[in-house]
Amino acid sequence: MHTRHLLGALSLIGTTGLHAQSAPLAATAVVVTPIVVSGTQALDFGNVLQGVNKNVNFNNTNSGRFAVTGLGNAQVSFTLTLPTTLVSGASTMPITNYGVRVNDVSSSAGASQVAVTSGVPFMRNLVSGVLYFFIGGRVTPSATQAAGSYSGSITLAAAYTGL
Amino acid sequence: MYRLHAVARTSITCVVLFLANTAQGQGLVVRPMQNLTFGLLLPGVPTTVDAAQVSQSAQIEVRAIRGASLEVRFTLPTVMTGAGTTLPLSFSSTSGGAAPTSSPASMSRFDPNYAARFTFLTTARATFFLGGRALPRIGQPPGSYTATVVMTITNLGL
Repeated sequence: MHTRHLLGALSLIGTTGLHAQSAPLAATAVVVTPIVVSGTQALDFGNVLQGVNKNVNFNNTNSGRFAVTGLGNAQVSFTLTLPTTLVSGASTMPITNYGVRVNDVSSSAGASQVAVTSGVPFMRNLVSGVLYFFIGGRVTPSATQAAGSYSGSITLAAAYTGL
Repeated sequence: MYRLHAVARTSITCVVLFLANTAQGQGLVVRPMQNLTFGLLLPGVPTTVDAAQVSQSAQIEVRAIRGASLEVRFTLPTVMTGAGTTLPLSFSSTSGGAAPTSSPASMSRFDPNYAARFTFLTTARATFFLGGRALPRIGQPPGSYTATVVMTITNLGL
């Protein structure tokens, strides 16, 4: 048996004729479904011409898309990392004017706009347990842009805020 | 020698009932204040609630006559149950705490796996705190899990 002081010196006494009482307590936990983030579609600008900017809007069939599943009604912290250039070998092409929208259904119709700064977390509620992101942007190839296939990575990270 | 022999029994199945029931008898009052709540857990990610985490640790207020000595003993579960399965639970040598106020700032740590004795020398009230560690397995099914911790207080008298 371990003995401890609560508020001063411990007084050791006998235990004859003592009564014990019990008080149940509860221990509780809720195991939640892990968040799953899936990149379901690349933001695809297709063929572009030198010196001609090209936009892909969030509601374009070629917009970038993520699907997120997790615990319904859970508050989630999201962080989008958006590249400033696309790369092809030693050549780069600026990418700007990102537009980000989210929706509870897998359609861009009715999606709400999200003010996103690359690398800065923002909060969203997984109301129905799923959330879809739609991402548009603009590439600005220079007049002397080298021919080639350019790519970059858009990353979406998600974490429950209550964990 | 004057001895205190009686306290009442209290039990709960949820926080509300817990707060509604106060055990009282012959100068000794045991008032459960809060359950041990781990909150949201992810499969495969162990989570510890420290006794000093006032929003999550279990808390029991005990009032007694100054000079009284109590033996506190916990019956600790090894698992919580829910979602048709179990979730392992453990308690370390510092999971227990006792303080002369409702604040854990001045609490004395103890091992809830063993009985501990306390003497109310300069106060008539103490708060006992209990933390623990939940260890959800990889692949742990989502759902609510619960277990019952039994706190037994024996009044050793003055």
